[in-house]
Amino acid sequence: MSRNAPTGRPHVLWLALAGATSVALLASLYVIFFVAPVELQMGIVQKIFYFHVPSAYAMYVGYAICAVCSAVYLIKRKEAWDAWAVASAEVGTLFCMIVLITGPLWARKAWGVWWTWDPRLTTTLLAGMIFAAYLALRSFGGGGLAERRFAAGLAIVGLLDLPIVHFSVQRWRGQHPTVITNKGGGLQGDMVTALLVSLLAFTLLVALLVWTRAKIERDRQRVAEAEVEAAQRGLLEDS
Amino acid sequence: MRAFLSTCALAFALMTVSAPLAAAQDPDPAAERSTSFQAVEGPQVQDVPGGTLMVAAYGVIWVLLLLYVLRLGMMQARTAREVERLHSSLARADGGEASGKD
Repeated sequence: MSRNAPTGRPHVLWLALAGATSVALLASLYVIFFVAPVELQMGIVQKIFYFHVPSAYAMYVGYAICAVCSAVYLIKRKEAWDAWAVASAEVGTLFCMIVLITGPLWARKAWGVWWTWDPRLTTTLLAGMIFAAYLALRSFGGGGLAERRFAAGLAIVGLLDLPIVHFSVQRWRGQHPTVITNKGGGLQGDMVTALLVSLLAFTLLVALLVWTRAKIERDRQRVAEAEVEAAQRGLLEDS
Repeated sequence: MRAFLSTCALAFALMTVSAPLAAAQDPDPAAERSTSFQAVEGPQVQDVPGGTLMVAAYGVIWVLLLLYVLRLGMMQARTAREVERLHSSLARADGGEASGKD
């Protein structure tokens, strides 16, 4: 057991990442509220944008990592990949919830309604539901090999929805704003700075959360393996 | 983990159910504007408080992030307790084997 025992000490790189994430988040709040100007038509509610968009980006990252790790798990059948898949699905769903809550708060002011069945909103909700189903399956499915493989397949299906979410605005011309385009020009200079700092902060945040959650999941897997091994050797009969 | 996932599943279910209900209760202003013009009643004030919505949005973000970090801490603590329990069980088993040999 000692070979695979979970360690209690935080990794130096983890501490550095946690510190960098904290600094980046504080910097993003400063730039959002003290540097970026108030938007002309929507007013102060537009500042939701600076955390809403990076949250959507973090959701993409989490779900993409989940799908890739699930695919590798199906090929290599190593538990570590499964741990990374579960971790990133959970973090992706956290950011999906943030997107689906902050979006309507902005829409109430900008569109006059909390929700509309716009292509991007609908496909984002669909992505969230697919990965919520993944997590439900992992949680209530019993944790067997078949459930893990089925969940991995579901994550790969969920990945197919992500390009649809991203390109839905361009393809189906919904109400959702498209200020970030290849042509540029949709944002004032300081607004771009605020968005970029927030994107950096959320990149670090999603990396930190996925890493932390994956380590915990890996530790849980090792404890479960050790328990099974000890029980098979008759060492845990009294517990 | 089950409690968190149940909460997530419930939140998504509520969103799915409440979104069309909310849409049904709040008629689309764009559609309304295209079929009727209505007079302002009372003083003309901004009825949607942007500042409140923004504070609510940032509040929700920080609360969700902090709750998730708290959940990670609890999971880590639970895993550490499991390791400790396993260690003590193995130590007892080792002690029993040693005394059996003696």
